Amino acid sequence: MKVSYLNDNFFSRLETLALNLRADLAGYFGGKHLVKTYGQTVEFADYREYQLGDDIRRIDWNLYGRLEKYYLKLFTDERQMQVQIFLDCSASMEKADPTKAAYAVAFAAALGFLAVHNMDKVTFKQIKGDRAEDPLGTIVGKNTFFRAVNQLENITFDDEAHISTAVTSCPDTSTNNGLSVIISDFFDERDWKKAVDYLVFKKRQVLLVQILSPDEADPSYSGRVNLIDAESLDLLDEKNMKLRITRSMQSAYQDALNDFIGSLKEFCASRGADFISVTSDKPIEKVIFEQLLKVGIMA
Amino acid sequence: MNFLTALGFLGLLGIAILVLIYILKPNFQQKIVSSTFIWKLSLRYKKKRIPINRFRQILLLICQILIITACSFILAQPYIPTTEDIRYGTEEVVVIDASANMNAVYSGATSDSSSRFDRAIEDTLTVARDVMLERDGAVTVILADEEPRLLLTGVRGQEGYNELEMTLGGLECTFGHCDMEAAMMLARRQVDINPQARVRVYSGTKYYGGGDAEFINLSDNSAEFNVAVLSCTPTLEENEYVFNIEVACYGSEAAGATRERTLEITVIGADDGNGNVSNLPTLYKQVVFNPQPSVEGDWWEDVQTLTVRATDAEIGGSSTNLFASYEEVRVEFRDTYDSFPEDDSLYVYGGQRDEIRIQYYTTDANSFYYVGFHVLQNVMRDTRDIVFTQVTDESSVAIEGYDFYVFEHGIPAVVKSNGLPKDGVVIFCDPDKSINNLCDIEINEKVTLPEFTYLESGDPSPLTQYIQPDRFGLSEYTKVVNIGEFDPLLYCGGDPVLLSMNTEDTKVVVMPFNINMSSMSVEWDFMILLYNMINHYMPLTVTSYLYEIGDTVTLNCKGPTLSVRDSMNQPPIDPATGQPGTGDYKEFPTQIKLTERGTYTFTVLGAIFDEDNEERKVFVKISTAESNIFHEGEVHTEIENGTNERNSGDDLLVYFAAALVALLFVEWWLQTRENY
Repeated sequence: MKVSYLNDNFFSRLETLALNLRADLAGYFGGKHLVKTYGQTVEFADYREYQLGDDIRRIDWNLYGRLEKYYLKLFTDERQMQVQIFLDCSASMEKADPTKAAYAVAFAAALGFLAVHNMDKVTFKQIKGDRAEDPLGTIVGKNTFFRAVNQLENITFDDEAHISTAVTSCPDTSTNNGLSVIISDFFDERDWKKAVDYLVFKKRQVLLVQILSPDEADPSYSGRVNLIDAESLDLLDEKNMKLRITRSMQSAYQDALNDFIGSLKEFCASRGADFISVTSDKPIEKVIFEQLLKVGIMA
Repeated sequence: MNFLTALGFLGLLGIAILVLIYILKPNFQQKIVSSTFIWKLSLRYKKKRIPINRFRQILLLICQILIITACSFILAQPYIPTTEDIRYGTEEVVVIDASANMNAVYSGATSDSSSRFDRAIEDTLTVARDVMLERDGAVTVILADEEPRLLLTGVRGQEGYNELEMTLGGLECTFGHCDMEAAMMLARRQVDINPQARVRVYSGTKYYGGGDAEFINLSDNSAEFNVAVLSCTPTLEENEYVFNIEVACYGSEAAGATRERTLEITVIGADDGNGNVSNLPTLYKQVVFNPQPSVEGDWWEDVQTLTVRATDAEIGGSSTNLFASYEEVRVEFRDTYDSFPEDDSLYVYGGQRDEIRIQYYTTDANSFYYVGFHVLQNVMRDTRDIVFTQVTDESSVAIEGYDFYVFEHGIPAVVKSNGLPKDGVVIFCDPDKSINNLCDIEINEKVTLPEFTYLESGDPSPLTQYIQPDRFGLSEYTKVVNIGEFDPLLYCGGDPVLLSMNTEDTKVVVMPFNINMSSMSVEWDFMILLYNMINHYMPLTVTSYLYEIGDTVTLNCKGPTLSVRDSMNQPPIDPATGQPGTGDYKEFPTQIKLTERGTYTFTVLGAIFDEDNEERKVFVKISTAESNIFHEGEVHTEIENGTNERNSGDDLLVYFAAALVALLFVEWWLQTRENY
């Protein structure tokens, strides 16, 4: 049975939130994000002495009356950002635990909603193999978003996903104009690192969301187990492994997982990217209100 | 160290099977995971752990291997051979039967004639000379009596022969049975050690079975026969003793000719009932034996049961020979000489019954005690004379000369003034408070129960044996407020209503209730209580007076010490130690083994009931089976020459093997469990 988190209640609870993106991003005209540059809004920002070439219509004549100098009145600027959401659509996200994929889709949808809610542009990039497919196109406005959500639920998760290849070859990744989110389990030691480096190079704000199923976070099975990798081709695939899982083995697994997550955090911190790790049994609202607020993505 | 069953090491194959089970790991549960990436990482973490963890993982396997190894060793039966055990080459294992029939000699022979046992010894020496001195072989000798044992093991050479000669020279035949099965087991053990050994059995009994063992039958069909007195049972019929005597003649066809013999019966110490004791004239009973082939085996026999009365004029008796009791009756064939004279005579004891004197004093006579003791008088008439005296006049009460003193409802003045009688058991029934001054007990007022109350058990005691207290009850009793050193045997409503004290010099029973206020007297339990009292305080020393050699007898004693002497006036063998004891016994009941033919004497020392030490005798005869000197037997232990394989069916090996297989099966099952 297909699992879905996407419904009206889910989105209504997100109405009060907004994405908090870095102010040094450039973006496009027409958005709601305050940026460092001055613009044409009605909100006063500062004064600046008149310089040759400035539009004389913007001179503050009242100030000239008092000071007999020419000053321009400056106003804040608001920009529209581009939010890219890269969703790992490999079999590892769904085959072992369908709720994990549903959770990833819901998380992507939540971020997308927050973006369109702030009049940003959203693109959902589905990473399948070496490519980042974008069947929904760029989404602006809630009406378009909600039409796209229905299609989001029909995403299939199969085969493998090479995050770095897919992200670096993505054609519409602009520079310095928004947020890129990669949602995956990151169960690959190096494939995703190039992607992060690439996005940082493009001066984008980067967020990595690691989604784990409860069984991955704390394996409850034990004994002699033939572990079948969800992305394996057959039983003889090298990715599979036979293991006698004992309590000590489970303990070793916990150590390995904690160290791996730690290395993810460390790498992201070194690149100025944000990183959160969540389990699919944790309510999405809680993750958004707690962990995204904590890393500063949400306001 | 050697192994008796080296094939037992096949059990070690179990280890291979076990390891195979572990290697095959037949069922892995399949689990689809998102990625094995973290599991592969965790292997590196696992490897970092200290080696002890690896050991812990295979601890179960190590334990199982150890168990299988232990089982295999048990199957292989390791033993550490002594230097004597390591024997090869020619060896004769000689088993010499030492049962009673081996004492048989040729009939009509002179005193220097040799017995079967002598011939066995002589033949053994002949064989030993041949084997030890001529063929450089070894000889092992097993004496087969009631507890067969190895006399010599694998002796060889001149020195060994000298030792053998000395050992056999000191041997004596017994008058008991022989355990040939155990002797053959010993012999087979020797064959296991030296597969070339041959077993030679010297016996007067014809044995069937035994495998390759050679049985040398020492009986001589042409020259041996035996006349025996098998038993004598005296019964009292119409005030006259009748002796049913079983006699027999055994022989072979050659020795089975008609024989006429005279049986002599002599009554010693006959009491005519008036205190006149004398020895009766000897009776002579002519017995004609006409042996016929037995249906039970290959021998001839004639077994007759004779009925002898002392008043029978035909055998020399007369009407004046009536007697009420006797001290001893001798039954014997004296006019002949047969192959086995030890069973030609038999003595009968038990003709004097114990006299139990009971004085019953009551202030309000009832028939319960009177009837009770008179019933017991009839029940116990074969072993005891119960003399019952009822006294209602307080001045006539005696405080000595009785075995039991029963005081009902009141305590006579003579007892109050002189204390309890010292020479018997005192029974107080419904006593008054004056008992408080006589015994270590304190009674109070009478308790009238609102409704009839059934009794409950107290301390276990021989007095209450077979009594069911919930079958009878009381409506009134006297409350005992202090029981002192008395043992409470029965309770009514929480108060003791039957108490006893049994010390060396004080034997008192207190029943603080009126028998008329109890339903006890109309139940069997009242009779059982009286019966128990007599049996407990006046036990019979022995319950039978005729035994066979090898029997175990249970002894009781009404005094503190019982002295036992056998026919040689020696203390008997202690069954616990197998050695002669002191002959004095202080804890009863006790058991002794009767090993000597003849009269055993039991003397009760220091009894409070009799000034003189009481003496009882029993006769120990040759067993009836051994009197038949041609009897046959069967042995199930098979001797197999030329092999040292043991028969695995006669011990627990098969169970160990089964346990081994079960262990492997359990392991396989555990391994195949899905969630193991």
